[in-house]
Amino acid sequence: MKGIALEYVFIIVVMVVVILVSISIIVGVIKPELLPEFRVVTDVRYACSEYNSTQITFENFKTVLYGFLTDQCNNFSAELRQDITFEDIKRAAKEVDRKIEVVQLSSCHFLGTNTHSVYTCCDDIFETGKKINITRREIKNSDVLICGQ
Amino acid sequence: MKGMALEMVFQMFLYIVVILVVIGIIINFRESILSALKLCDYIPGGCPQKEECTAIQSTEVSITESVLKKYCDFCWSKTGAKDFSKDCLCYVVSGSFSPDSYILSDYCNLKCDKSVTSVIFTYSHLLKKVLIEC
Repeated sequence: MKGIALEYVFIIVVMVVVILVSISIIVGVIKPELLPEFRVVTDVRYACSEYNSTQITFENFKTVLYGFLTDQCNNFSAELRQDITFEDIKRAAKEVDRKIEVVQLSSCHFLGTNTHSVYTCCDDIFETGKKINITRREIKNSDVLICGQ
Repeated sequence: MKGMALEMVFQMFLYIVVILVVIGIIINFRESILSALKLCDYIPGGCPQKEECTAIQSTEVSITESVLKKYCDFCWSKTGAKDFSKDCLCYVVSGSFSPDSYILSDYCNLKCDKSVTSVIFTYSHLLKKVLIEC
């Protein structure tokens, strides 16, 4: 009986060691950046359609930009009720996905590549009362092009 | 005796399961384990490199032929040279640029034909070239 009890103790110790080693391997090997991001995508297609051809605030713009970056909206045009700067756009895009780059172009056109970036043209600021156009290619993870008029 | 035999069977089964799980983990994460233990140099072919694409903002006084070559080569070395499997935004370089007949490497494609204050270096997986645009 004593022998069996010791045997069980030994087995439990072995099991605990194996479990600890397995956990440490998994924790050490699977780095957070390698884990898939389980991102919940909010449906904003209605907002894109509703805000289109209206006057929008920066908050409305953020919702629409979210729609473009999550492949929900394709073409959008509206008049601004607030100034929106290049830095504002950068912040709004990073809120959706911190890996997204926002780049300023010298003319309103898509580049020859598709890197899921946001391109703006052509000034640092989109002023109140001016029209803003947002487009994307109708492909997955498309670039987003934001131009003023 | 029968009880002992069953216990042995259970133990054997437990050990086999544990061994299989550990082997499975090792096989599944062998590349990460090898690189974590710095053993990549000792295996034939080395560890496969992770595809990383990060855009870097840079500033130059003026964007000359040598600057174009430098950034194009940097971009190519981290994408095309490694057979990168998607497009990549490599560099956004600020500085005065004037179009000219620059002589660049075969893998560099200058597509900017106007005077600008910044140029963008992107890798096109489709064309297997670094595109220089503005």
